[in-house]
Amino acid sequence: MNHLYKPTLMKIEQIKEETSDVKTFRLVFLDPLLKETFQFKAGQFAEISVFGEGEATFCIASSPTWHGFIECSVKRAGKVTQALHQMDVGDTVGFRGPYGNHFPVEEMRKKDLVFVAGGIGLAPLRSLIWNCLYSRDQFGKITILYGARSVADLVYKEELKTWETRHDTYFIKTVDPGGETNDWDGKIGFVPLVMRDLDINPQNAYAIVCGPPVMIKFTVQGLDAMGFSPEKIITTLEMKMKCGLGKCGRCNIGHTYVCKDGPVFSFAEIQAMPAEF
Amino acid sequence: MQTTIETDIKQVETMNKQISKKAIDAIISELTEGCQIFAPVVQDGIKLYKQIESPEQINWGHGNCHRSLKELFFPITEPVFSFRQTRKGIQIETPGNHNKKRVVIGARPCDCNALSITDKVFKWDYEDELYLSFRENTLIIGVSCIQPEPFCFCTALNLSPFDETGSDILLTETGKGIYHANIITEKGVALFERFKEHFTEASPDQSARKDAMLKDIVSKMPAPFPMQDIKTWLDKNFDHPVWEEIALGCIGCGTCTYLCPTCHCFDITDESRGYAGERLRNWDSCAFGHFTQMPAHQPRPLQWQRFRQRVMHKFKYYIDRFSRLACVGCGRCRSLCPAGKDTVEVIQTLQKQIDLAETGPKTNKKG
Repeated sequence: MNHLYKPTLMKIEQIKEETSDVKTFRLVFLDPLLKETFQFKAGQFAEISVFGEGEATFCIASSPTWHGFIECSVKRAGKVTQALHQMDVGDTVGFRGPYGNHFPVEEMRKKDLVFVAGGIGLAPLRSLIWNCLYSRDQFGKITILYGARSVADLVYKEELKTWETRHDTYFIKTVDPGGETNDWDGKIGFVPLVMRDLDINPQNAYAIVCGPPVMIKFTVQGLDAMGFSPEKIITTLEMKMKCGLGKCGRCNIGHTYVCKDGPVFSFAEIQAMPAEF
Repeated sequence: MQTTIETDIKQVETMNKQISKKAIDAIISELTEGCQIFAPVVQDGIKLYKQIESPEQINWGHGNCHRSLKELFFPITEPVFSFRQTRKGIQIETPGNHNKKRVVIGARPCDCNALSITDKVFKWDYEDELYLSFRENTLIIGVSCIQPEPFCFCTALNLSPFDETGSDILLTETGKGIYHANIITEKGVALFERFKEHFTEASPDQSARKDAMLKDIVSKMPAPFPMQDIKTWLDKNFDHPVWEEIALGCIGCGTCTYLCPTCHCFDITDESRGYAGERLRNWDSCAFGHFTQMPAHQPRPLQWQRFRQRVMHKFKYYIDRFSRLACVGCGRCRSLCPAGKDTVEVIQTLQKQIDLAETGPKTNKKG
């Protein structure tokens, strides 16, 4: 019997060490047909499993415009992520997905985009950023503000350099005070504070925010003060999930299932939810 | 509040028949060939829905099983597949026990009705084949409650101890060893057609007697709560200070959620030995802290917040989502809570809040 909880198999093709506790896994479907035809949208997530250890939820961190593989960035934090970190290239994992809604890419066309990310929160935005850069001329000004606790905690370091040197993106990186190194050439300061000094015009713009809850909270306050309407501030929520299908009952905020109705929400939608997040 | 919901269950125009206990036993005996039969069975002083081999094992006594009917469709723990690491890679095998024909006899109307609530969850958007295949292959013969227990409160939720929802056939004992039989669904009709000779037409007398019994029973049970008003209050009072008070005493053991016929939360875990193992689906509970614990965030760190989640889910969130209450008033949570928490008292406390808000003094501070 085929059923919702039966995963398809994927092979680890590449492992990249991003930080001391974050690795990015490039995964390829064993089924050649699925490898060719698999599609998803930026913002969607998947249940990745290590057989014998269990499943965990990860956003798909690669761009939907890249074909033949997906990437997930995994922060070592629990049983499954620990097991994933011990795996090698060539090993097999289980995959269920893609699940959830996605970033409103279509509505974002012709608009200025402000990406604000903290730490591993860059993973879902990375998917969207590359998605937008793929058809760059369809979007307005693109600003990317990325911060982490320390220089060592910055993920996708090579891609940060690419965004920094591209002429069609305005890229700012920052680390929390005390997290800098001697040769650090970025800003020093918390993301919401650094954001205040940026040249951002809320007219005709979307802000897309992802990071730790405290960063999201103050960033959204800052964006609000700049004049962004709650409908134009987009974030992706992290709640504990198991099924990803709107069944297992743990990711709800009010009657909203984060796994089905989200994980991507506008701040206007979040304001309408009970204050549980 | 109990708006009828659309289901895939094919209702037919109810047929009223009569059947004797002896004839029921004969049918069950015949069905044991080729069907799995489940019925209330008392084992070590505990009444549970168990698979039986012969009708003598059925406990026809009044009162409900300790655990609800849901476990026959959504087992406490269930392998969703087994896996084995071989030289050719990982082999996955899904369970093959979901296609057996099953008959449940002796289920209480609240438990049967509760299935129409869990059906919604397992059917909306993604269809959960594990649950739905069990549902599809199971025929349910419910038995009306002619002697409800002290903790029962289905009537308080506008449900009936003779409720037909969820049963394919509903039996009501109208005389000693004589049952009135409502044939409710297509599945029920199919069974009736097969065993036609065991049934007789229900006499108008018997139907009248059944109606009179129901009236009498309901008159002794709790009167309906204003669930619509309570929902309206819940809509506005997520942050009300009374929640901490309401939850006082809750020890977070999860008993209420395990016994609840409509609670459907689950966990997915792996168990393995060497190169082989199983992925399991297990009942889980919003009463547990780890239920929502993430590495860097916990949306419900305190027990009263988890308690609120359960009350909100039953009496607000589920309604917002699926247009009906997620409680059938079976009373298990009231009767078996080790800390003496009582769902009816919770509802009464909420009712008091509404009265207070209406008549003052104003204690309805948001905080």
